[in-house]
Amino acid sequence: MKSKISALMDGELGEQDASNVIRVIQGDDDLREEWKAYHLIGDTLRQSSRLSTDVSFSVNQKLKTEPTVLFPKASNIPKQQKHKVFAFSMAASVVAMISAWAIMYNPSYVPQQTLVAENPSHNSNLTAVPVMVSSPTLLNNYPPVEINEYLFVHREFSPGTNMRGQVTNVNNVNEYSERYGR
Amino acid sequence: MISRKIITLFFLLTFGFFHAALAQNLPHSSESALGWLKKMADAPRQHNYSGTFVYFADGHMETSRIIHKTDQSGEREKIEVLDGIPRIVFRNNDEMKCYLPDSKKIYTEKRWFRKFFPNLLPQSFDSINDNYYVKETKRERISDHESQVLSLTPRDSLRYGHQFWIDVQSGLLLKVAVMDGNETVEQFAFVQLEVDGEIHSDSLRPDQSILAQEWKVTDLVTSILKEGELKWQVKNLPTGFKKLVEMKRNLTEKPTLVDHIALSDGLATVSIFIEPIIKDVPAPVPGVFTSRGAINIYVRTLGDNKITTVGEVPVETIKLIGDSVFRQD
Repeated sequence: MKSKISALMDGELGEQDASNVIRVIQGDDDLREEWKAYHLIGDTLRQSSRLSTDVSFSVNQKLKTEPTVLFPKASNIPKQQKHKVFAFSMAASVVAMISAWAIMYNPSYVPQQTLVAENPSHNSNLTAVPVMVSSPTLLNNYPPVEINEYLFVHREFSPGTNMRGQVTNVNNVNEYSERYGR
Repeated sequence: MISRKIITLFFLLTFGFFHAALAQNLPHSSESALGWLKKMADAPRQHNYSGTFVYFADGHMETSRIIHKTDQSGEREKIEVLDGIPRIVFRNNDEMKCYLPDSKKIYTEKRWFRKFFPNLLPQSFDSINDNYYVKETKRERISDHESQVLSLTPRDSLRYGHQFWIDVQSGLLLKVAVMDGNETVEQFAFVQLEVDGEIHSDSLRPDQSILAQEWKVTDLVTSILKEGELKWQVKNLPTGFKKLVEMKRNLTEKPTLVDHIALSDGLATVSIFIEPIIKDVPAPVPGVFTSRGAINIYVRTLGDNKITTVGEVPVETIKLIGDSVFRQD
């Protein structure tokens, strides 16, 4: 079963096989742990900045046990600090003015394109929903299988291209940005 | 006291800003750096070589063996992928034949526009300086060869950076890294390489064990179209990207032809595939996806058509290129 979980993570299973394995994982606590551990190992190997550990239980416990702390109203800010805040805001606004001038008069300045993950509005009914990284249901959100074919044609079977039946490894970018923070 | 703080903060912030603004205005690449690129582009047409190289991306490594011969008849090459599903690619100048021994399939194709490790640069690479700042950085030893390291810093955020390790003697590319800022996205590198050794023509042909078997040959027919012949066109492309070719072609498993537009900025290549949405099959899922290494994918629909854009460029660029497609009536 462990090898099947590994194959599922690598996207090597067919649709029928995948849904069978997911069903088995859902009904078995040990296998669910196994699934989480594989993801954690994968994240560590990829040196991902966010590891897919399940912290919800420990955070919940911590919240339950932590006492509520009531702060007095912070009204007595020392005078000197107020000066500081004023000085910093002055400096920031001067910089902002110069920046605005430089942007306006720098002909080569091109605004950075915003990172896009949304879909065209007329397709909103088909939106690929962001899903938790460790959720097996994400498999349903994979793009059409012919993307593999496009990849072969684009890279002309060169080394580094995944072959048919091998790892698909195509992730929805929502998952990607969640995982890598990009 | 306060005024001194203001002045310090002011200088820090303005310096930071102008530093960032200057980064957008990188100088012209030096002649000697561009000279290295020329040497690198010419090397595969001047030297025989054979060796083993690895591809590394996302914690995945794949080893391949390459034999390359050049003579009066041009360039011939055999690349054998040694890990995972076996795959042997024979290249004879522009023609490509890919053998998949497991499934007994052969894909044949005229190779039009792509360049691959270690033969990465097109013969004319003038546009590279427009889009990248090329700089000599250091010398390093790779696979027992002394190499000159070049860094290619993109002049905007629309493409990835590159690092080239070029064999000082032959000019062959020994290693390449695709960089997203300081992060390496994918790498190719020789782990063993012999340059200018004797290469028998037999080693560049399928051997008897391959020829004796029954294969199913699929010709990836491609018909190259004249400029504007395709009903799909691109407008307002991101800076530096130019159309290489537009064609109608078939894919490995599909019976119908799809439209294919290939673009490049001199180094990065992007493909746009357009095909009608077939009824009775699940609707395409629009969105941006990422594959292994530097590849990003953008799927969108336009009327009854699906537009899939694939390329080794950042997500925002793949989206801009995919959105630039319109129907020409």
